[in-house]
Amino acid sequence: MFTRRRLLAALAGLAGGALLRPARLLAQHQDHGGHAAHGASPDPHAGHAAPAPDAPPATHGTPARPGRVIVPDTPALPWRMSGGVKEFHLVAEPVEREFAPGMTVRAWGYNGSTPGPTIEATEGDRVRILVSNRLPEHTSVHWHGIFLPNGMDGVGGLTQPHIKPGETYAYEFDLRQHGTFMYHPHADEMVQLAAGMMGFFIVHPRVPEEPVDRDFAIMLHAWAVHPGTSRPDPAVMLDFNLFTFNSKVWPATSPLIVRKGDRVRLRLANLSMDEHPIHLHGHRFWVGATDGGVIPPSARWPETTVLVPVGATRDVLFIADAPGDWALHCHKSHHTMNPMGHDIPNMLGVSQAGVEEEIRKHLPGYMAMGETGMADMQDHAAHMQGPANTLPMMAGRGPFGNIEMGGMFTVLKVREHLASYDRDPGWHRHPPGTTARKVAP
Amino acid sequence: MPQHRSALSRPLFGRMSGLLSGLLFLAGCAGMPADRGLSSVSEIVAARGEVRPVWSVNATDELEARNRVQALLAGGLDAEEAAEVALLQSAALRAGLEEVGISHADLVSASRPANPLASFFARFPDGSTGARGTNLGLDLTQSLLGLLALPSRTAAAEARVRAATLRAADEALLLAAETRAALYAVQAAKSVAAMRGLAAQAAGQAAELSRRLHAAGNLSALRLALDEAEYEELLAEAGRAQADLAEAHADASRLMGLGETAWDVSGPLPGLPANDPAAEGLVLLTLDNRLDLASARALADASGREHGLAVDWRFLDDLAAGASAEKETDGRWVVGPSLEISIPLFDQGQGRVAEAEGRLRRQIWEVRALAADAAAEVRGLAARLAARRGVAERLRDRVVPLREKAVAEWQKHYNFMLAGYAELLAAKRAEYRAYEDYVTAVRDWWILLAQLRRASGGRLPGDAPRAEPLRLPDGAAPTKPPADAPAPDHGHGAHAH
Repeated sequence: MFTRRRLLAALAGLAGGALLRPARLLAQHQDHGGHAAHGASPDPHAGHAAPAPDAPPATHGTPARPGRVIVPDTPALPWRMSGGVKEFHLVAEPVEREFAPGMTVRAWGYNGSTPGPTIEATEGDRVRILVSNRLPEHTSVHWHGIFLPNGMDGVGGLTQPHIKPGETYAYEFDLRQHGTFMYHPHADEMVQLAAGMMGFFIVHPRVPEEPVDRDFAIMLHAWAVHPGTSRPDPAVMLDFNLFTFNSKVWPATSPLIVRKGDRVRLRLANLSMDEHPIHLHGHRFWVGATDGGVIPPSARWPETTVLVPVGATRDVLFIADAPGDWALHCHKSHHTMNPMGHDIPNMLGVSQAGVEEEIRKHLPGYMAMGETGMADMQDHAAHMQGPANTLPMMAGRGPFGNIEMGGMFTVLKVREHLASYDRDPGWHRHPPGTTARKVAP
Repeated sequence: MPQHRSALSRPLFGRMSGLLSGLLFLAGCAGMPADRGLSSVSEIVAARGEVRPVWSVNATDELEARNRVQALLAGGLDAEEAAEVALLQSAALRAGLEEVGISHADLVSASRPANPLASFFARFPDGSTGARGTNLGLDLTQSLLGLLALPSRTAAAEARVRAATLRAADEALLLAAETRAALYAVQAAKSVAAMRGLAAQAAGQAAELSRRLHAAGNLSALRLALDEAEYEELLAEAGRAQADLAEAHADASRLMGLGETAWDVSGPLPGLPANDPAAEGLVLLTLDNRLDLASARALADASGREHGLAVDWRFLDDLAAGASAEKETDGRWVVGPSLEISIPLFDQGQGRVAEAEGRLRRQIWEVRALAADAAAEVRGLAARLAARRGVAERLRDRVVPLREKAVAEWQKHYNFMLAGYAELLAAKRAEYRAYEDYVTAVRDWWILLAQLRRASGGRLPGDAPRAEPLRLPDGAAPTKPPADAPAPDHGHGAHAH
């Protein structure tokens, strides 16, 4: 069972302040709930907050447990056993999220984070999820893809009353399946999804069917945070300008670090209003499951790009057999770009010679841009000021120059020798003769 | 006998001429001032804060005035200098000033008695009577009524001279005020024309880029037409501003009496001084100082004296005394005094008295009407001045800085490819427009101040308002054509040169 001492130990092991609040709530809950027994938890997952010494360290502070999911830049949701029920506590609340240095978004999320902390459980568990509402409006939580009693489905008005500000509701059900699922509000969705309320609900099989060495999860989302602002605009339906992996944009997305030969599962989930073709370089993968369940191996085919539809999850499986720095990104090019005006004039092929100097008489900071393309933008952005809290449209510097990306872009780093999953191994060292070389002029 | 007769006649004429000269002395017989009364007008004008105008009938002094005007024009004019030029140069004002000389002439006339009247006759006797001598007669008559009324009539004429002097000074002050206002209008029109020129230039650059985009296949003919139309409209607006400038310049030239003489302003409009003149006591000051009011009071004084004359002499149409000598046909002289007096049998002067009273009452009402008008005008001008200050300050302290801020923010959007050249240049145009509005508001304030200064009698309480030159964007100072905008790294928004 969960004790106060154990809780303190857990707190000490936690990274970041985001988890402190639900932990404290749990502690209070414990006080009100009566006495807790001493002793080690019989549940092998109970100690997730205090990693075992032999466990491989997690990527970017995610608590690491063997076989557990790595959700980059996203905390895990702690739980405790209460009368044989795995009890979680989600707190819906406004949060601040740094998409990348230089830009912080006033979002809504859970337990101080967007995406909300990842709920992990095992098929057969009975779970109780307490949901407290600290938002200024009512909410509900829908457990996307999970088989449960209709009254636990979380559709405000249809299957339950809305959870009003200040109220706490309990959802409780048995997990009768495994896979990659999601949770999100089913109340004022235009606002609450636009503001970033979403999270992973991962149910592991009781007996691992396809064990992997590295199990990653990435939540895809699209945002409308107009240049110079910090709050998502819920009225935007098409013209989104920020596209995130776990509510981070390149160059702030975490790399996925694997050893050569690792079996890798990549769970992708999409709660945005647009589909995302996620492409991995240098490898092929098999789509092994959707939020509807496992795809029989006989029905799978190899892919390099998986289209993740709106309101769906995809688990892809591959063996990281090629050392290198491999791009992993949405293949819609405007989704790998940070904000850019959608109505700006097309300057391609237009010389401003002669006019530029004249315009500078009115606007000393004026600079001709775009005649030969937009690639200059990344260097310009380094010395020209943009609107407050706004990222330049392209960023990131690699060993060979500007990477000119943004949004849904990260790097799968496959290394033969890796001291630690937890430490970025730096750029790939290409064996001699294996890089493209200039042959002319 | 002839000796006796002549002895009788001589002292009588001598006595009469002695009496006449005595009366003339008592009447203080006025002469025409050498400068036709211009210096007293100068005096008053200078006391109201204007540069003392040198008006003269003397050719040398006129040359001096002309040289002064030339010197002022050569350096370019500000409002004060323009007012000085107008006072020295305006022929219309000089025509008005002649009224003072005419009033002096009237005084000269009024202060002199009517000349004595001599009549003479010779009659030839019919021979049948036996008389052979010629009958000769000599009458000398002096109107006494004119002599007795002389002091009052002189005083009335003196009051009219005061009235004419004050009115001429008032006209001079009015001209100075109108000239100041006209000069502010020129300065402002010049800045407005410069702003419109800059705005058109910015639109022209946008249109040029649009043409290049169109040529490159990146912009439709529709969008290009819209951008070019915007540019051409702004050119038309800039043209209108040039016409307004020419009109303002012509108005000022007309007021200054400059005709074809070329001249220019020396710099942009002064900025807004820190304070409006104190509004308290302004009405009292106006009632004390305003020259048209003082002139009307002097006229009322004249009318009062004329009314007094009419009352005092209501029963007399005429009174004359004289001497009469006649040589009979027998050669003897008869000499004796004569007196003529009208008998107020039918007309006891009722009409004259009533008319004089009417004129006096009318003049008193006119004084009151003028005083009420002046008080209302001054109050109204002071209130408008305060309101205009509010407008000008808002434009200066809020609108212009916010437009500049918007340009800076658009520039940041442009830097990150979040906005295009057209939006950025349109924002700059809006900034020029804000400056234009600001210039116009400051102009309105200065014009109201000139009007208030005139309306309150020519001199406002406190020191003359001191102001820095108006802040304008670079390249927009009226003394420089827009094309001379400084290099980009100067930054915009510096003080105008």
